Amino acid sequence: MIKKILLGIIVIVVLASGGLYYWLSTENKADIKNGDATRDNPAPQITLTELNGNPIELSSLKGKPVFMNFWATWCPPCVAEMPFINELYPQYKDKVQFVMVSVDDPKDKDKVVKFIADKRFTFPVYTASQADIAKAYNIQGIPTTYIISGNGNIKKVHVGGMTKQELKALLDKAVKVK
Amino acid sequence: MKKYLWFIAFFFIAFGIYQKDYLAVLQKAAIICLECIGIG
Amino acid sequence: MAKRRIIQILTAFIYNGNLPGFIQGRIWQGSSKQLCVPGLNCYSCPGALGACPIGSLQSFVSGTVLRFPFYVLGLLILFGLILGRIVCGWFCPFGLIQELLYKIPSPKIHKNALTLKLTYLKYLIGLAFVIIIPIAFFAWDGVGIPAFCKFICPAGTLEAAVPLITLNSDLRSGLGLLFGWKFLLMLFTILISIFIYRPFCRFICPLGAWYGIYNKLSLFGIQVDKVKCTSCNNCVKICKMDCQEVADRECINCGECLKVCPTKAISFKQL
Repeated sequence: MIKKILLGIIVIVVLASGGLYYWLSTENKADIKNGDATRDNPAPQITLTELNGNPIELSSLKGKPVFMNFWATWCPPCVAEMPFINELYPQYKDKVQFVMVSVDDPKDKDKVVKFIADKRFTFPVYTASQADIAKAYNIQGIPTTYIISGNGNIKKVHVGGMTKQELKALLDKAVKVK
Repeated sequence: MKKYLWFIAFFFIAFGIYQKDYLAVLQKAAIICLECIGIG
Repeated sequence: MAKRRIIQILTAFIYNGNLPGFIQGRIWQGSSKQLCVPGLNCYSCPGALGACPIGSLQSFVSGTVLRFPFYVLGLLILFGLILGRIVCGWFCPFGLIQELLYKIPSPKIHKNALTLKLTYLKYLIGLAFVIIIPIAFFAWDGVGIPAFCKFICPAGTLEAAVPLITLNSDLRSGLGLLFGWKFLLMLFTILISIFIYRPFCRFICPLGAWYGIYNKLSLFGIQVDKVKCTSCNNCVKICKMDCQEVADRECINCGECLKVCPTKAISFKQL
């Protein structure tokens, strides 16, 4: 009797999980096409919003290389590398455009503003719609840094935090990208 | 003791849902915790 | 195959049902990750469909804002009250991995007075790495860190790091000393699991420590009929965990003791 009940439970669980998996798989629309947001491909267009609310298109930043870093206030390695980025910003801002994109939930924008103000970071910070970030860049882990050339092609992708030396080396490469 | 724990469990879950804690769980779970897997 | 093994295998597939993730080297980002699974299953595993409860707990004490983890703690209490350490014995893929490794023929180190003392270590590790260290880092420089996930959890290294860096070249750019340490720890855990039964569960896992507290309170689990019990202690002798009595905090509810009780005093609780 117990064996029959157990078998019944197992069958129900397998069917339910199969159904759940099917339902969930149709929900996750993060389609990944080969070549999206990867090296030597055009950087996907995305609308960024400055902390004061002004929108800006990523594509409008053509002309100079772009250092684009996806981060969040709740991400310790992201926060750990930001003081280094802030130190290097004055040296490189004339040659490289810094785009620090927070992936914090939009309702936490005040946290982002407060965090940047408390730390007195001077680099430009942006937010973007989470759906846009997911669709365009399919960020899998943060911090993720993109180096985009002056004509809009992704030249380098680095996943993970960086030391000051690694950041400096990356920015030196960014200055030279065509 | 057990009764109180059941109450606390349901209260915490309900309050957490009200505060949308589940979104914070999703945020952290849907982006690779690089530190958690030894990167960064 | 024993029904417990079948359920362990099914659980591993249910927790990690995003099989395409293992081919693409990407994690699932769907809304099912709002829910914690009861067992220790890294949410950075490419297959993971739910969130790890310890990882989720850590997410509230890491980063630049500290928040009380109402939702995750509520779920952990609920899982404890319903299942206790049945989670460990039946619904945890990392427990299954250790059990399978133990099946490899080798000399075995059985439980003893030292292993019994070592079982207290998981409570210290839980307190230190899941609560105290994250908050201490927050107090020190304003950023809490998920210390257990970051410095210890071999489940994360095995289930997540190894498949992801194998499949995803972008992730390899960030490997350094931390990964070296985690990788060695994972190898060590795998190795000693061949000689010692479930060493991570017995000595390290903060989730097992938590659920152990609920073993006597939980709705489901093993129980002893004190009237039928003759105190022969066959149950304790056969037990591969460090139980001093059936269904104490070390009991993972595997049910091995049921088979050796001469008076059938041991049973699983029924509703």
